Amino acid sequence: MSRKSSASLFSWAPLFGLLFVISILLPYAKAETLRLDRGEFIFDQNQPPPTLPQSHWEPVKLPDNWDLSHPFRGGSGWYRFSFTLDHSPSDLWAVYLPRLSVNAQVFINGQLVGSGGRFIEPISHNSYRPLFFSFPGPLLHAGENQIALNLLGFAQEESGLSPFQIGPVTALKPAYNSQHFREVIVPTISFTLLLLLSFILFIIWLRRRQETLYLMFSLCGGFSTLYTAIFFIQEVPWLTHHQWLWMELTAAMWYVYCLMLLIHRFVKVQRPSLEKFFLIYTIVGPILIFFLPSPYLFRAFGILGLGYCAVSLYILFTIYQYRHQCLPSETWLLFFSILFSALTGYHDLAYMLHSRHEIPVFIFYWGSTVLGIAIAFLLLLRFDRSLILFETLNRDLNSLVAEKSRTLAQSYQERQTLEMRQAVFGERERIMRDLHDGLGGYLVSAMVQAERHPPQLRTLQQTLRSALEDLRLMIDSLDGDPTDLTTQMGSLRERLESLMESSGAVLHWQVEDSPRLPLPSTSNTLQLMRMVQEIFTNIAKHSHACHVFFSVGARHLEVRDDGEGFDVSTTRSGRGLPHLYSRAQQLGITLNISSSSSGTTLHLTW
Amino acid sequence: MIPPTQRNSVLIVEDEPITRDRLVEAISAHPLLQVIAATGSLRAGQEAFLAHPPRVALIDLGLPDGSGLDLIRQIHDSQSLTESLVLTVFGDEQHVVNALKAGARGYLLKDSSFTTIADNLLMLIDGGSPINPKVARFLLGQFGEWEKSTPMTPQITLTEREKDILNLITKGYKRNEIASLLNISNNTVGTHIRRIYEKLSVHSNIEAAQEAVQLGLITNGR
Repeated sequence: MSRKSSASLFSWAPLFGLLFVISILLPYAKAETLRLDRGEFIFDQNQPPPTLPQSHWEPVKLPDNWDLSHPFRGGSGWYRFSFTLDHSPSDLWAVYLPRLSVNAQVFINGQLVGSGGRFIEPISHNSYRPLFFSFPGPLLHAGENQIALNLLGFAQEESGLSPFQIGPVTALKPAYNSQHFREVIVPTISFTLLLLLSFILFIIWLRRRQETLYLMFSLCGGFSTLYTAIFFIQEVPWLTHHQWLWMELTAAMWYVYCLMLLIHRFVKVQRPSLEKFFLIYTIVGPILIFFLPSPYLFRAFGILGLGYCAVSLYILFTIYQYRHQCLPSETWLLFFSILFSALTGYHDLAYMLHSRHEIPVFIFYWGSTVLGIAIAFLLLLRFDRSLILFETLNRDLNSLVAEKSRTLAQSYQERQTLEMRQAVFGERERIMRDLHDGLGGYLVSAMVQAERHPPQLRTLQQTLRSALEDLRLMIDSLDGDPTDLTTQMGSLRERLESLMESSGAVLHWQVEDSPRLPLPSTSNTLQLMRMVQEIFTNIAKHSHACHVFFSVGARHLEVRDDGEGFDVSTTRSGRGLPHLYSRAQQLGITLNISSSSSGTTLHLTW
Repeated sequence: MIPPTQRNSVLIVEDEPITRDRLVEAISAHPLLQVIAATGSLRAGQEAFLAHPPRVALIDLGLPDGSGLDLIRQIHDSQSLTESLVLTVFGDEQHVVNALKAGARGYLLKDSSFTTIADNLLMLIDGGSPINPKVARFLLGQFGEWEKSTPMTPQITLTEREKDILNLITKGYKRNEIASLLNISNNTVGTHIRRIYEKLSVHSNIEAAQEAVQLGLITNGR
């Protein structure tokens, strides 16, 4: 979530607030309606409306809170109200009961017009919602009419009835709708919203177990939604009224306890002993209350709640104390939403501990909902911030990697340059050596021959030609692929040809596919070429051959002539043969020479 | 004695006087050849060519006032009957291939014997072209690359026969040996080589044109 979108969330808040205020201030319809607040009351289990003598009924004024009017009494009670009408209405009328506890059904002139649901366990719960029963107007007649209301209440639980209205549906419906929206729709929405948020944060926590904040929130949210359920759920299967009430109020206690844990983690303080104390308080308190007689349940929770009052004050103080741990906006949003939540809690506690005539409206769920949304918002902001942090770190890491790669590439390049320089140096050294061994020697001889008196022109010409041939060999070895022995051999032929021609021999040439030296390199190829050149020079000088057969294959080279031949054992020292042998050895080549009077064969294998 | 007008005219462009004189001497000695001009600079060579286009031009690349390649290109583009040979000391790939791309019909080693010089010139006139193993290897490699990289028309790819001939040349076989190995005439071998050279220069021209277009596009784009 980006900062921009969170800002736009803020900008929507005033609009929601405005809608809320409008819904509260909607004018209550007055015209044509009757407000009933004076009548008679009797405890009676019978159905339908009791017809006991007038003396058994006692007068009552609404609001009638049983905790005050009938302490420690519960069960089925009957209210009776009389009113007169000028004429019997023809349109649709309704009874609108803004507040009662716990359940009610209404009879008009002895006729049942509506019921809030079941009167035996598991009963229907209507304590925190308005009831609205419509009926046909002709049910009322001109003159006196009677409305009887059967109320199911529980001792010491703020049971009772508030003033209610009767009138045409069109006149009463707007007020009912507005109250229904506030007390049923809004809790339903906040229940759904908080449940969803809790679920999302719980999923986040499952993937990031070290972030206990998310778990705390989902627990808080879970308990808060459980508590909120009391306001809009009418029918609770399996549970009796008291079990349901006990579960709801216990959820509220757990909610406050988890909130404390959440805040501790949010402002990063560790108070394990305090947490342990309140954990025991939160476990033991409700369990003890569970075994109390039911009339004491509500009040006991009120007393237990005082402990949580203290917790809320402590939480507020802690946030204030550690306000520097968080961003100021975070701190104050948290502080004020907790303050709001706490105030709603105090309001409800005050009602639970001290009964008044009116039937109470409990508003703690407002506080817990607002706080839940605020905290979820803060957590999402934190999540956003950690994402941004992660992105920044990632970017830094990437640039670091890029930097390292650059350095690596640079050093690789440097190494390559160095290697290339070394290769160039090696090559240069080789050329120097070749020039010295070949061309240099020939040129020195040529100079000596030219300086003699008279100059030995014929020898000089031969020497110079040899120098040129050697230079050609060198150029061949430098020009192109040194491992391509085929082409090197082919190039050599032109020169051998002229050499053979000058000595009167015919060269028979055969080159098979791709001869390859064991160690192919420019230098080795040149050495081999020099050997071949030398062999042919010897043939031209000494053999008097008519035919010379040259053949080369992948792993051998053979030169055969039909000349005079020589004694291999005695001629070892002369004719440059030792030179040939040592070159062959250097190249890892085996040289075999066989000679007879009918010719000589030189065989090189590798 | 063949009258001078029926001899094949030769132009020599070589700045080194001793080599030039030797060439003049070798060519003049042959009854079928006649040197009509021997110059030592690019400019003089160009003038001599324009004045009397010879049958054969022997051209050195490193001239004092420019590169012999320019003259080879000029001759090639002139639509005249003149054919050029590049003069080289070593017959190395660099020299020969550039000259062939510019349109030369072959090369001539500067220290060749008199007979070789004359033979090479006559072979050229007969429609053949001098070649050596290294140039053959280069051609095989170059055409192979072109075939791999770009789809080409059959006119500028090598035929199987042409490849066979180049392969044998690479191994050092002579023209007559190749002819008998492949059961063709000596002249046919020469014609094949000449055709390969033509393909090389055609392809080089296309390539140069494409490069120019690409450069032009880049320049226009900016």
